[in-house]
Amino acid sequence: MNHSAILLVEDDGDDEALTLRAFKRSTIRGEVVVARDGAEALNHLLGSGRFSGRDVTVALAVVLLDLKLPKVDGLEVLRRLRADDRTRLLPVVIVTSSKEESDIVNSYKLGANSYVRKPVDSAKFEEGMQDLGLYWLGLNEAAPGGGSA
Amino acid sequence: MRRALTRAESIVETVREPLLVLDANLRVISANRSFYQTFQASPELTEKRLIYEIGNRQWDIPKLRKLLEEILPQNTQIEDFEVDHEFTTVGRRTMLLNARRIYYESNRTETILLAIEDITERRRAEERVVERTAQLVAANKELELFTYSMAHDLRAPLRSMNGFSQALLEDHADKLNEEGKDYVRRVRGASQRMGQLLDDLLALSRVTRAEIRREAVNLSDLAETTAEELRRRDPARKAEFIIADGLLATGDPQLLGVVLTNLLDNAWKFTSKHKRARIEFGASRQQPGQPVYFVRDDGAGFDMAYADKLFGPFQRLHRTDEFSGSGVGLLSVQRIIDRHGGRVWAEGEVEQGATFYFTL
Repeated sequence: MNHSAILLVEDDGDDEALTLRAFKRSTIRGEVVVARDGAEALNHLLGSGRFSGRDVTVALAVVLLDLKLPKVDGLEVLRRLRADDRTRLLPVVIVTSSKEESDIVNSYKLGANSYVRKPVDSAKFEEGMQDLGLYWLGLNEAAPGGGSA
Repeated sequence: MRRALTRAESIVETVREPLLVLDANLRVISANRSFYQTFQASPELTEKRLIYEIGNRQWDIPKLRKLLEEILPQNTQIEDFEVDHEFTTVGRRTMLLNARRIYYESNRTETILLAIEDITERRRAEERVVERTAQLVAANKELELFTYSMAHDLRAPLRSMNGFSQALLEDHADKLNEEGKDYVRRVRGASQRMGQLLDDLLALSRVTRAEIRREAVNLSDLAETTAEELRRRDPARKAEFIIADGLLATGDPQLLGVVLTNLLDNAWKFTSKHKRARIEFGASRQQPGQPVYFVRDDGAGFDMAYADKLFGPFQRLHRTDEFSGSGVGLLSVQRIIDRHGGRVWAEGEVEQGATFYFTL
């Protein structure tokens, strides 16, 4: 199974555009699917969306999850992903503006694999997104079976 | 004897507080004019009566009974006995009573002197102060939270401004002439400064909100760590750090770290235009047990005429293109030192460097 897809869960259109641009300007090659709120994200993963089928040939390498999302917020999405056998082992990286200790602690408690704070500086932001993509697509090994326990 | 009695009576009459003189059986021997005026009573209806009967039984108060019948017999005098009661003549009042037993050798009689002070207004004022303080504390807290969440929420649009102006420069350089590129660079520069300002605001807000811990802190270690960080950031600079060894203090390690970082950062920044720099951190003992810590540099310094502006919020003594910075760093330092019960002040001379002193 080829783990080379990224699910970007981000409600801010500007952040989305800047992230996609960062990926484009890097060596990251892979499908990037964008979900604009928590419900859409859950649909992609557990419902009838892009990555919910059993026999996907292109599997998700990582979910980049913002915390402040409309409809269903990031932590709730995370909770449900970890509660479902199909997505329990899926790498999830929280990417957010928040530096609140409670958010960091709760994210890890709910089973996030990593927590990244979005920098304001554009150069750092681009570098950060690229580093993220390269690491989770390149170096990291996802669980075989696309995240299912 | 007569003269003494007259003198005593004159004193009683002159005293501004209502006074009652009772016999051993708690009957009123006499009352002063202040008493009659305050409680709208008359001698005819007061003298020779049991205290509990006068004024429509308004003095028939359980607490007063306890004072006169239980406590006073055990003690010769009682002071500051507080009684809260709805008086029929004057309404709800809080009274402070002083009671004293006086024994007359000459005729083996005992009288009780009761002085009454109305402290209702004073108690109400005290309550108002407590209430007002609580309101202020709550309002302050709300303001801090608001500032914090505002600064936090402003980061997202700032990121967009920053990101897209950079993207403009990178992806569409061919469509911009030099002037266009300059404009975009200025937009980016401005948004970066704003980002720094927001970070400073957030840091400042965190300083004010944080719970302050009291632990043993090695200031020398903290200073060393910061110096290392600065050297790493700019290895090309020829700067000498002289840090005194073993400087220990009691306070919050994180906040004191912020103080040293801010002061050393400043020293580093304001010596950047000089070829060589000398930055010192140490302590002088002017009084035993009360060390005065200092961070000294030989950089750009400042004009002492503006010394009192140094610690004000967003006050800067140098132009932005001379030295960067939002002017919040020293304010953070002051707030932290304040919360530790210390003082911070500075001395400097233009182009001769500056020294920042603080106590804890």
